[in-house]
Amino acid sequence: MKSEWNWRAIKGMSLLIYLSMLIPLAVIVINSFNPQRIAGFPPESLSLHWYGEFFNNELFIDAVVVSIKVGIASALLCGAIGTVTAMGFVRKQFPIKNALVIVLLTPMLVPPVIIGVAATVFFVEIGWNRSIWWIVVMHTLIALPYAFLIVRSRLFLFNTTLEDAAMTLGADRLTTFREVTFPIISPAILTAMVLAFVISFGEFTATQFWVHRETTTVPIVIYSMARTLITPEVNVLATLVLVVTIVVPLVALVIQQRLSVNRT
Amino acid sequence: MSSTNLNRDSIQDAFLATKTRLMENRRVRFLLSPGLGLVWTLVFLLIPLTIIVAFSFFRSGDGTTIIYELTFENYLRFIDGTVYQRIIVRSFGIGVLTTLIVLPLGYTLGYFIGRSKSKWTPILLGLVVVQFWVPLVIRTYAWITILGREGVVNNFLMWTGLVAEPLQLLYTTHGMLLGLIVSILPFMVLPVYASVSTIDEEIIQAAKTMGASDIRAFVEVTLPLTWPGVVSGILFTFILSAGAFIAPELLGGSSDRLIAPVIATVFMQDFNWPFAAALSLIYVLLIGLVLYLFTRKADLEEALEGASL
Amino acid sequence: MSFLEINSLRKVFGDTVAVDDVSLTVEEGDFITVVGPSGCGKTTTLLNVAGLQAPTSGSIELKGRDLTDLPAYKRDIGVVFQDYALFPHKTVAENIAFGLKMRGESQSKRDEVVEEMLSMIDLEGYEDVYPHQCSGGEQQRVAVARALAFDPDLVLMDEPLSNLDKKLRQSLRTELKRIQRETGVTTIYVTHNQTEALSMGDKIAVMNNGNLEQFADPKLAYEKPASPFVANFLGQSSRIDGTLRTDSAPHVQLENGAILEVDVREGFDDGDAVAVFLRNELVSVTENQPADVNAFTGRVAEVDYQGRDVIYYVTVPDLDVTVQVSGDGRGTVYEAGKKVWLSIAPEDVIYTASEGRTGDQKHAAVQTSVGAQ
Repeated sequence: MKSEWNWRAIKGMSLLIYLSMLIPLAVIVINSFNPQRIAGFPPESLSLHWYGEFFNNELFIDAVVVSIKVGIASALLCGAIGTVTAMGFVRKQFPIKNALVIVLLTPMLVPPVIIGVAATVFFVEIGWNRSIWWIVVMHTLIALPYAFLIVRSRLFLFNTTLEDAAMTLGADRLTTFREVTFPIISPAILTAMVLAFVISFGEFTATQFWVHRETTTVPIVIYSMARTLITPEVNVLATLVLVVTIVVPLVALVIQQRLSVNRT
Repeated sequence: MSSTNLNRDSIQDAFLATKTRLMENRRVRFLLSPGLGLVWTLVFLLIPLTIIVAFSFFRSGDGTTIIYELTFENYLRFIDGTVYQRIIVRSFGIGVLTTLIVLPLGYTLGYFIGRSKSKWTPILLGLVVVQFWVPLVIRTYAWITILGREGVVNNFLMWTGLVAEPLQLLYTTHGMLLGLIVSILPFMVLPVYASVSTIDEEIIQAAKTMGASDIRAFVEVTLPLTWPGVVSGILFTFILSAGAFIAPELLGGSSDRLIAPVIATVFMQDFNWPFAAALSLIYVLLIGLVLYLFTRKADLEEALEGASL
Repeated sequence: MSFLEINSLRKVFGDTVAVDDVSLTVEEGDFITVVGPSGCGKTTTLLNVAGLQAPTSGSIELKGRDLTDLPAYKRDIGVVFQDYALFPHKTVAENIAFGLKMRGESQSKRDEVVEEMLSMIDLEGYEDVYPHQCSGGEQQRVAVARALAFDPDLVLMDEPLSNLDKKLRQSLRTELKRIQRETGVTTIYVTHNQTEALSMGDKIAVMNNGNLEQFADPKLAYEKPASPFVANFLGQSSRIDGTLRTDSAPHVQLENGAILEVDVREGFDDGDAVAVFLRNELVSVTENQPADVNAFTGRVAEVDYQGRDVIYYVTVPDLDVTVQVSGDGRGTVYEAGKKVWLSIAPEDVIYTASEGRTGDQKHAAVQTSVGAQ
């Protein structure tokens, strides 16, 4: 039995932590409906005024479009590269495998500022012009370890006898992958891609080195507004991003559950 | 069938078999290639880092130009002036401090979710996972609305009459720490939750039947079993807080310039790429040292895996 | 030329020899059981035949076609795996039809075969059910149907009943035999369960340490084991070592001088060192001295009452061993410490060369069968 007193203390502490995580987000959402320019709290009235302003502001819309484009591209790349790499690491034996895993995971360890600096210097030195592709390849790099780890842990659980079975039934290796391996690990690949999208969508610290006027992403816009002058549209943007970043993974989760029903 | 025919058939069969096997292998090798991810990491991270090493020995010229000649001037600048040394010390100090605060808080919440066996558990967990999904910029920006002069806290305090003048909460070290701690908490909560939830309640009960008090049972059984989660949380908390960019810039005061924003300023505003490279290298080597000390006590791969829940 | 020929198959993993020079010939329509303790190489042999592992040396020929270098998917060999390996994301129908799909058969043909198969395994109406919705026994039958559906030349089964409880195992054993009889498909069935091996196989191959110890008719293997290992592995028995004497009445002389009368077995000579095996169920235990030739007195050391049967561990000073004996649990059950008499008819005494195999049984046994005795 949990001791009542201890458990109550833990519960109380947890509640405080939840409040500290959730209240700030709630305030943003509420403020986005506050028609006042200088938002007092709590608001005196609610309106969609700033939502109208937001959708008329190209700066914001462009940033959202760029972020979504980059997020989707990075998610696709991470899904493909992460899956192929994880297959290789799980199924093949090769020397210094353990060390090479750490190499794959270095993007998790190197501070994003340094990734930002290093990639910028590298791209400029090789004469690659600043474009949205800088962000795409680099976001892929940053999210790749996560995608790799997710697919790999699924593959560790994968019963390879299923592949043996497919081959004895007449499927060559490629068909086996298409018919058996891929459908079974696809929920994990989907998870990896959604996570890659979320990481890409939220990345700021490294990304600030790679953007230019046309490729400004959402976090950059919010940051620079927060640094300089906060217009109420930022609350709208933040609220919409909040909704998107929560809804997208949740939808993915539901799809995944559907997929997994018959595949566990 | 004549024997020659049979012979030719079998040779042809063997040839075909070999050919298909080779073709198939080539396609399959691609699918199984562990190299793709490694090449990506090599090209877009390891090579750039190597170039940074070279750059740290160059000199910045007028404007944005770089003078490609060997010099130790960047490192001398770091060694001679105490400014940058202090910034690094302060960053690592913030890292340690944040870790010390996040550890008990995150452990408490992770333990709470892991032990609360009810229909609410998925929601409790979901509320933490969602924190990962919401961009850090937004979670940090939110504190401005809370802590500002016209923010929620000050409005409330003024309304109750507890203070006559708004308090300076924003742009202070405390404000920065608050934002930092709350934003990093999920990195401690989730790995701890993951290890707590795998502990069989019966094991703890067994300890108690043998005379262990609650606290004793926690120290002797729960804590050692959740250690891998704690280690993973500590690693991420430290790396993220020592390298924090957004919280010190948006919430911290003028004395809260940490190494990450400073490198960015040197790079993007001073356009002194060689010096930024040198600072980056010093910073990354120190992180490397921490990681090295870490690997002597724990398994790095396992700790990193803890974050991919 | 035989239907399936395994010639000098050898498979080495690093320093471990999993299969060491195994040769086996199987005729069309046979049901072969391969039995042995875990790690004896039986599953490795099976995987090599299936093409899921490549032999280190040796060759495999099926219907006169050399399979050795052929990948698994070109061998036309159905495999039933120990854990069934049903595709979890495919329905029962899709699982069964998979082999046909790979062979480019039309949907209508596939549907037809699936229906046929489901009726054969008594699971009509299970087309759209997913494997995880089936019970263990149902999954097992689906796995068998899947391995048979594409009309393979050979079916391999790797301990297909080992994950099921005892009752189900028995009913499925009969079911599998029926299916094999109906389809007439040549089958190799790997198991570690000697009862399964003896009851199901037209022929039984006993493996140990990567070697084929004996390949023969089950009755022959049980009654005339080719090696001490086979004698010990099939059935319950107690081993006593001695020397065969055929000069007078044939008997085995034990080291302590005691004598056990036996029948003469072909291939044994006077003076051969032999291992004698007393089968539990062939030794009678009585309170009074019986009139039989091989009668020994002993004391019950332990009693293991099992209901219908009772197992006695009887210490026999003359034989210098503790003999395991099955008694009738329904009659008087002797208590520990009781003095009893054990006896066994000479023709029931089983013996083999005390080391290795009797003669070159690996190859010789292939030709023997009970009918040829």
